[in-house]
Amino acid sequence: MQKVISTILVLVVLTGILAIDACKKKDVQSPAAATTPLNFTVPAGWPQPKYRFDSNQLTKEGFELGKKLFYDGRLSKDGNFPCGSCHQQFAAFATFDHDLSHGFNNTLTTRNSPGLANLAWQSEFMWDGGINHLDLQPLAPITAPNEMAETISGVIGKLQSDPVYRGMFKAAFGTEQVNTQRMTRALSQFILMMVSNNSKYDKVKRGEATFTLSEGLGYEIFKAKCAGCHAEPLFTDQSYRNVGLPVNNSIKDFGRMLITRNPADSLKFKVPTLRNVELSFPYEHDGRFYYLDNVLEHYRNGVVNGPTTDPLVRGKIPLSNFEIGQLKSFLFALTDSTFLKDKRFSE
Amino acid sequence: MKFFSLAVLVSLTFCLGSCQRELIMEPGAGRPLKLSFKNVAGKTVMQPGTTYQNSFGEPYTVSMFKYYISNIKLQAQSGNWANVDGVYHLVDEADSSSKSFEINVPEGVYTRISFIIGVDSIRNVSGTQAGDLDPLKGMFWTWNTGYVMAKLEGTSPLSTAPNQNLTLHAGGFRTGENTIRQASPAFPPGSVITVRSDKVSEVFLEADANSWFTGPHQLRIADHPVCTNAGELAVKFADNYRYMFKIVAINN
Repeated sequence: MQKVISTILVLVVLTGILAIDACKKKDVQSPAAATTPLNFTVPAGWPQPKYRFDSNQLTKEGFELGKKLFYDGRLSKDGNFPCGSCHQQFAAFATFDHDLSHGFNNTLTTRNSPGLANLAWQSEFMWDGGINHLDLQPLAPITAPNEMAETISGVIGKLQSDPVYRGMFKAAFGTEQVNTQRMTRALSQFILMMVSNNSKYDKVKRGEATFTLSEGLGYEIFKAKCAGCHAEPLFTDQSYRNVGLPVNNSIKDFGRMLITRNPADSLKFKVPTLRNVELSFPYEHDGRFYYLDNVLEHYRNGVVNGPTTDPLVRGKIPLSNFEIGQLKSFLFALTDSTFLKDKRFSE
Repeated sequence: MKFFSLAVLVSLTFCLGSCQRELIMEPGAGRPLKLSFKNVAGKTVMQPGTTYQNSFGEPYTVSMFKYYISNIKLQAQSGNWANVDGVYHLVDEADSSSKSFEINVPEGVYTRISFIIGVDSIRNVSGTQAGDLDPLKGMFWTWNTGYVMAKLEGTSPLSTAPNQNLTLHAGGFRTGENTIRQASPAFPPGSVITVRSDKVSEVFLEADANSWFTGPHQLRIADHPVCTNAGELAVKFADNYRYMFKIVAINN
């Protein structure tokens, strides 16, 4: 008898917990019933991601939809400029060999296309951090007249009229409804999975490889002279800094100040990651430096001090020719060839 | 076996009970109350092709007039507020169906209404939204992300902008450039809102575009024909249009 009563009690408590749980789940965006969940793994030793996965649970169907959208020219006005045209996998999802990228109707962008990797750990996007959520990020290039030059309603209309897309939206989100929220969440699902953590540096950290002599010496120089901004393991502290690059007079881009309207933010740009830096040339927000040597030369000789120049570079960064060689060896150890060739992300 | 059925029954009751308590708090609960908006400029009802005059005597036309209504709450006679969660409604002069909508409120007698003109900061930082908050509604800045709370567009012979455009977009939610404004227009003397089960009461509101130009700040079209960024000017327009609503009648 006692056993029966305790069974009842357990059942009551369990069902109660289930009930409360069921009620709570209403806040959460649940994927469609027949979806296949995708696992997002946080690499060992990395911080927790900033992206709120509970509002956009990753599924194979959502990822596949996001991938199709990423490589679909119809997201642009004339069909020629998919996301993937400026974010090329072989260039670590930056634009290969271009200081500025090409947009609709023979236009150029005003900034260097940033590589896409590890964006789950980022909460502000673009060189100036003007976009406060990954899901909202695609709307800027889609609508920019010198990029994809479309309207959001134009894109949604094209997707709605395509039965293939309607089927994929249904597979990912449960119904055929196509809207901006679903489109941008699917793009996020694709982009969130782009995790680059398999460079030689990562393998050394995991004890699977050892640095060469010059890589190891370069790592020590990096930690002493670069890590103040390019913090491991993401190789950016995601702050905005003026690194002593004078304003480009043909573009007149004052960076973060355009967003905050605060003169203290003049000429500050987001610290870019150094992962895959070997492939992401040209460098800086306007692509003004073609070679890594130009960048390192800037830090040891070229820094221009202005009112907002960062204290860490104000006195320039002393680097000998030997140190530059060793530092470059280390930076090349940040190239993640697995990521650059990962078929999951290929067109 | 008998005990087992009892256990299931007890558990089920508990389950339903716990869900139901939550339902009461959810949007969609309660009885419908209709809010109807009419846009005017001074004493003139808005109509395409009409020229209006603001209090400085500046003539202007309106080709677009849109604003968000959100975070609606009503104060009962007891003093308690009933919050209407999850309602973000875009009133668009060009879309007559957008000019009235129903909200759900617990039954009762209410003496005050309050709402936000615009979109609260949470929805400005929570990714892509749907419904009236879908960025394709044209009320969203994509490069410095955030909602445009209200838009007034048209022309004026006094505008110094290209094509004599009058282009006023008020947005911004961060400290120092916040354009989120709470409005609590007064009821007609002696009126209350009664929310009950047998009839849908209706609140008739008027929004006066002229209020954009006067109030706490004097903003002549000749001086300020364009506002397309968050910042000081947008804040001033929001300070002014905060008072654009008037409740002209309540039909219980």
